[in-house]
Amino acid sequence: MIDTTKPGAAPTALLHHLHGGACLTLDQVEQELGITRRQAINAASRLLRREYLMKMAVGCYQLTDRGVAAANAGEVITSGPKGPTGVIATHRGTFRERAWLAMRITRRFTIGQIVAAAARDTEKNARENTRKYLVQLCRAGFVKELPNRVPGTSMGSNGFKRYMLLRNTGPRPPVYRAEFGMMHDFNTGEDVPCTPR
Amino acid sequence: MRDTFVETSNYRKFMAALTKVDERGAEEACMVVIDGKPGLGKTATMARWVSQTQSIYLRAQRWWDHGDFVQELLANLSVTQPIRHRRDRWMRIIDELGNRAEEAALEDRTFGLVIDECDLVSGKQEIMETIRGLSDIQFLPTIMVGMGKLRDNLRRFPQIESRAPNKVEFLPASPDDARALIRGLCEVPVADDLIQFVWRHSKGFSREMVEAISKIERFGRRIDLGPDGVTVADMAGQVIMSNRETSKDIVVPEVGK
Repeated sequence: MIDTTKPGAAPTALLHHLHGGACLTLDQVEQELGITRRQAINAASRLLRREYLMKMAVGCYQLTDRGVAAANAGEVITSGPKGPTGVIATHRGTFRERAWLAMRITRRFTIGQIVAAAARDTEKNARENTRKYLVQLCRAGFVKELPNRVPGTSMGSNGFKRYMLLRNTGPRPPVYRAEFGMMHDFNTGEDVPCTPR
Repeated sequence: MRDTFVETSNYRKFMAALTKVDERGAEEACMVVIDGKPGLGKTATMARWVSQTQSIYLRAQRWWDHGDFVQELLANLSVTQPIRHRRDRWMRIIDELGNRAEEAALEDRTFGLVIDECDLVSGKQEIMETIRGLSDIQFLPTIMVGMGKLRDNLRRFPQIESRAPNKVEFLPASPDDARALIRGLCEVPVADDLIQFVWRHSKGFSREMVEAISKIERFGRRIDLGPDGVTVADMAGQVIMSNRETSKDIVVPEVGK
């Protein structure tokens, strides 16, 4: 007996039931799996959406090669997403959003100026976060490091790097996509490749 | 120098004007005019306020006409697809600003529209009337930032002037402001006599004071400091900042001179 209260139980049972190469009608599926007509239709639809099932005739279904492979692999169909959605997650109210706004206003800046404008008391790693973000923005060509530095104050200091905003594409901050080595710009919808270090 | 924002009396005046806007009796009186000479910290204050509140920031250009202003505002509201009709563009702006204001209200955060260098467009009636319209329809705090000409130009538009009873003039720093700024930013202790010297010679301009702070800090890290920190006597003969009018170096004098 299938526990139909579990999402994905009926499609999983149908996938494994059709594994032998059988071509069954919905009536047969209903009878052999002990599920209702609606549950049989829903289970078949879910397998069809995944291209695991094909219609051989009206109301008669058989597994496709992909379906057979999935059944061989012992796949369990669940209610979650089938894979990466391709949607890039957006997070609002982040430090980097505030830092990007500060860069757009000041245009030429040091890390310290951006931190002073964007950081909140609770953010302890704001300086490091800004530094990493600027490295990514520079590699993607949004920001340019200027040749002259602001003199440092400590003994032996090389000074503070100065930056200039080159591509002010809009209010939303570009985000780094580590898996692709790219910056995604929500303002233009573009993925901008980062040059290797 | 510390990466921190020091709240001076100019910042407090600006925040007080915004509080007045929040508590306004006449709902349409929600415009704030900010003016002052360059180097008094207007842009630094705006950078801080805009990034903290995630408000909309526009930098006006002399060549802007009404269409350019609307286009720039739409771009800053993340509307990139062209909208054909003037009325549709207006409705979209109202919608977008309304959504953002609502979102900010739910998060208990102030939200506003900042127009920097506003004196460049303050003589253009169509742009100024559009700003007034936006401010009226959404009761949106609208901050117009400029230099000397902004107030004078606004007098030409009584209907705008009446909506901007809150005028904040950024003034040169007081001795207390200078003390707060130097002690807040400088990573080495600084004695009162040197703070007074910096305040007097910078004429209260924060840009010059920041320049002096980095010089004091560099010097202070290389000497054995007394109990009061870096003094005028310690820095005698050192260049501390430049004079903005003559571009000449200002040198700390020997004590007693």
